[in-house]
Amino acid sequence: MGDSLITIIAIFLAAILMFVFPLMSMSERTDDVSQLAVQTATTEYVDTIRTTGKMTLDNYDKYMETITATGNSFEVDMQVQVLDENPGVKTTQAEMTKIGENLYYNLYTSQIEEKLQSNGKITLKEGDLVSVTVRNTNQTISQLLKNFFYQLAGNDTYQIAAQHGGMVTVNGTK
Amino acid sequence: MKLQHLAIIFVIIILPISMVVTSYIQTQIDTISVQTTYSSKLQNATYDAIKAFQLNTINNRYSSVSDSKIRDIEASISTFFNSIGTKMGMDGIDQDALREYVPAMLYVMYDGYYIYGKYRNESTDSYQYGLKPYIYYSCRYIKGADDFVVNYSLDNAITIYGTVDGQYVTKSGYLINPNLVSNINETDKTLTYDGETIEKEVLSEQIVLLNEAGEVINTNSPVDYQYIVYQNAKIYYDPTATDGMNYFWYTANKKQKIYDQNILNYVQSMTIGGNLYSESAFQYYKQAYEFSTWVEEHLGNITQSDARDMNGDVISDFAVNTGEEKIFRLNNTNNPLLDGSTFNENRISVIRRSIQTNLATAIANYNQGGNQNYEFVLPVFTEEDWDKIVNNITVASFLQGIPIGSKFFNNYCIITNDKNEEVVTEDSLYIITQDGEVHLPTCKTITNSTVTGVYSNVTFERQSIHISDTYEVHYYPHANSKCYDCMVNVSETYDIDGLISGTITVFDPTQTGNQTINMKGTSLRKQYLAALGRERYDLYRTNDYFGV
Repeated sequence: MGDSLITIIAIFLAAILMFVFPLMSMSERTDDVSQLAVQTATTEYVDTIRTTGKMTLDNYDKYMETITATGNSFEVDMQVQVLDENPGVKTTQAEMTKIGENLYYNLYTSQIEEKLQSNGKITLKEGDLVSVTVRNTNQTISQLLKNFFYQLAGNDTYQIAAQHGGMVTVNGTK
Repeated sequence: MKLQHLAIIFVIIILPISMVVTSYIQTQIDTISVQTTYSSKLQNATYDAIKAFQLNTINNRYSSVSDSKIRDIEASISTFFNSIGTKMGMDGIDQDALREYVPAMLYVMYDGYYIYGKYRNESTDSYQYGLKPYIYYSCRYIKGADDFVVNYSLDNAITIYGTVDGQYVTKSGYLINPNLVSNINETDKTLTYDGETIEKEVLSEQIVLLNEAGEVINTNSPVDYQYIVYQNAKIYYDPTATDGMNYFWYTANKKQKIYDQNILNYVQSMTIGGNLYSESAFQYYKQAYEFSTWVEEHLGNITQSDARDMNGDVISDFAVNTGEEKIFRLNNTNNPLLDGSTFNENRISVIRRSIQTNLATAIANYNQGGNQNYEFVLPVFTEEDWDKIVNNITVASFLQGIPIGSKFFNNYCIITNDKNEEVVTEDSLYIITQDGEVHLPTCKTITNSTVTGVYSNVTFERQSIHISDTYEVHYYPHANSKCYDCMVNVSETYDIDGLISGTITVFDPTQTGNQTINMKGTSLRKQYLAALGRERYDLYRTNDYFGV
């Protein structure tokens, strides 16, 4: 009786050690690699926009293709801040000692996607800001296994995330 | 063997493998994340460099003079190293140590380029950093007895020197399609270019004046003055001057009255009915017409196959092969103002080849005199990179050989600038319409508007005057509110070549698909073409127009 109980426990332990442990270890590595790929792709995507002044549907599709090729589904948040210098010009006209107070107006993911779908590209100018945040929405295998041991709840349960942003350095009109 | 033993042996085998794999992947991740942050830093530093160049040239009224330009470029390079040093300083790399990893920096200017890098100083027998001599975008052509060199530029200006038709010539000027010029009238200073009348025009801009004590004269707002450009400097007209000295230079933000009788005679002859008129646009097209006619007559048969390298061998590695198309035969299909013309394809090929060979040499030479165990080579530029380089003032920076994790960092960054006093590109003119708004020339909303002025985009940038440490004033030479369709949100524009050639294609949401609009005879096209000529004519050039 005592022996068979120990055997059952041993089988459980062995199963965890021989199956779950390597699987967890490998799935975490997979997530690391995905993280790497997503981080690189995001940086490249944003830097291309910054140096060309153009956000094209083609580039966006390529970017989405690269990140989804990791086997996960993602939520991509894009934000474009368009520089509006007009209030500045009016202020300095009235008072020469003041440097203009510039405004930014924002375009968000859905508006950007709509513009990309209808025009094929969004042209930006020097001084505009662009930022992209991406996080996975599915549960990766490593997340599943982790949840098996301890449950994580809430919005911040993503495993793969990347963020990059910066100022557009060139006018995209040419 | 018991199952427990088997499990333990399995774990003993798997655990080290897992640890090694984890550590390896972590190193790779670290390497790539360092690589991307370095790339971003390089990009930001390069942007700082070109911004420094732009700010210095805009606020420097002599920026186009060679000595002054070298100073601006050296300031820009020091900005680059300051910027990248500060950014990398956080990562434990010192600013001077970083210099070792920058094999070259390329400054693409109007008619040539500078390469910054390490060179051998023979007098001290050591290597030192500095700007290498200016290199022109030149190409040698040999056909029969003709043997001459053409210096190209970022626009349609060329300089020719060498033997043409048995004579040694040195000529410089702008190439246009001479067939489009007609009705040249010297007395009225008018001519017709492609159906548009080019005539004298009144130019004005706002400036802030200081008195002799260095105080701002009119503290409420900048004052609007009419001006013309005479020998590369602006002469302003003040009709209200009480002492009768109506004309002045704007030197160190102060009025410098003009007493020189020759200059006064000229500006007085250009003052008609209380307005000061500029004839630059007329002169540009007239001289370009004369020059282009001469070029076509004497060099009309030159093709790409006549190009020779320094050994006199045929150059066969141009980026674009235009075959037997005649480079300087100017007509509607080869209009130097338009992209894709044979002239432009050759211009781009020459610039590209010159930069590529010299930059490759400069970077390869960097290996000498260095103590790194890394071999510096010129990276392969993409077509998009070249497109930026050959059309605008550009800074390219290279950062190579920094050890990161398991490999060496090697990247470059190319950033262009279209607001400077070096070159007037087709896109760098801004349009002021009747309602006082400023637009890009290719704005869709102004195709039918009445245009009241077209000026270089530099004059729409803020200028600053430093009066004391606590007091600075700022002003805009043209303080117009910017159009929301083209300047703030730059998406709604069309191709500039359409405006120059007279027919544009715009997407019309009310119609299905694209709509073609004839721009000939519009206020926009007339003023735009005049301004393109005027701004190019008024630009300082080392090789000024040599009469034909």
